[in-house]
Amino acid sequence: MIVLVFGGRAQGKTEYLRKRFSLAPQDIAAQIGAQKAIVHLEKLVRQEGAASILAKLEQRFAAGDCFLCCDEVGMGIVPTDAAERRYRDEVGALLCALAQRADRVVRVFAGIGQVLK
Amino acid sequence: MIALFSGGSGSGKSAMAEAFAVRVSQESGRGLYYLATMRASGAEGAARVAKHRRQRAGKGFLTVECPSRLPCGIAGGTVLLECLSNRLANAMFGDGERDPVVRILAEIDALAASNDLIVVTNEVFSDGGAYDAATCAYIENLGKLNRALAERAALVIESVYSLPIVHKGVWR
Repeated sequence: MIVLVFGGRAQGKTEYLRKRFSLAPQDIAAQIGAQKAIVHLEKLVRQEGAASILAKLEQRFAAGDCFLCCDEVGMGIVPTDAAERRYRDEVGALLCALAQRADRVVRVFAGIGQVLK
Repeated sequence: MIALFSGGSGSGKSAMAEAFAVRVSQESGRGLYYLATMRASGAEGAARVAKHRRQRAGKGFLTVECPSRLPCGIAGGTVLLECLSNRLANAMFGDGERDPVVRILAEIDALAASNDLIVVTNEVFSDGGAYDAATCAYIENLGKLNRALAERAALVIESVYSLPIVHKGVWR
């Protein structure tokens, strides 16, 4: 099962994942590895871009249940800086692909999960 | 009929609105028009236009480039306006239109009177950034347009990373 959680900053997304799916702190990492939950995908996008992350996650999905967490970005004025514009588009491309791929998609608002899928 | 699609950057709202327009057109038999409002500048702008062209290639859209005023001669069609936020930016910052909200709403009402009109807009309201007066006026005006369109629309959809949240009407 693949679960995708996103929402604005500081909305309690990781906490939501932890409680809802009974995850321990050691199950959660900010990198793509053996841990069940991978948080802060938006930071990975800054480091290596959406395509690379998608390819790595595809391999990770074969290893079993995966809980993904990402900041929702792109709900503001389009930035004047080209790299910032690209970053928002990259996060969007990653999350559109993952939302289609995931079994469950939840948007967290003030700690409350809204199930979108 | 007016349908409004919104969402942030990269939220998949354009693809969702295009697919909806194709469905509406297939059901009604009314031809597809694509009103392209972007005034592309530089390599990045050209790449964005190319991406959107690829995305809608082969779907049967007749593209009408209209970075300034929207065409008023289309009737009996399925019209996709892509997008309201560019139309407003061009009116305010390129063409210096007086009263851009009134002008654009009049264009939209004229189009919607004799076409099925699908409008793509943009969520630019939630970054909490401090902006100059011109940008603040833009945010205010786009908010006014979105609200006026949502009031007129039979269907209001927010695209959240390719998944629809239905704010008004029935999505099928």
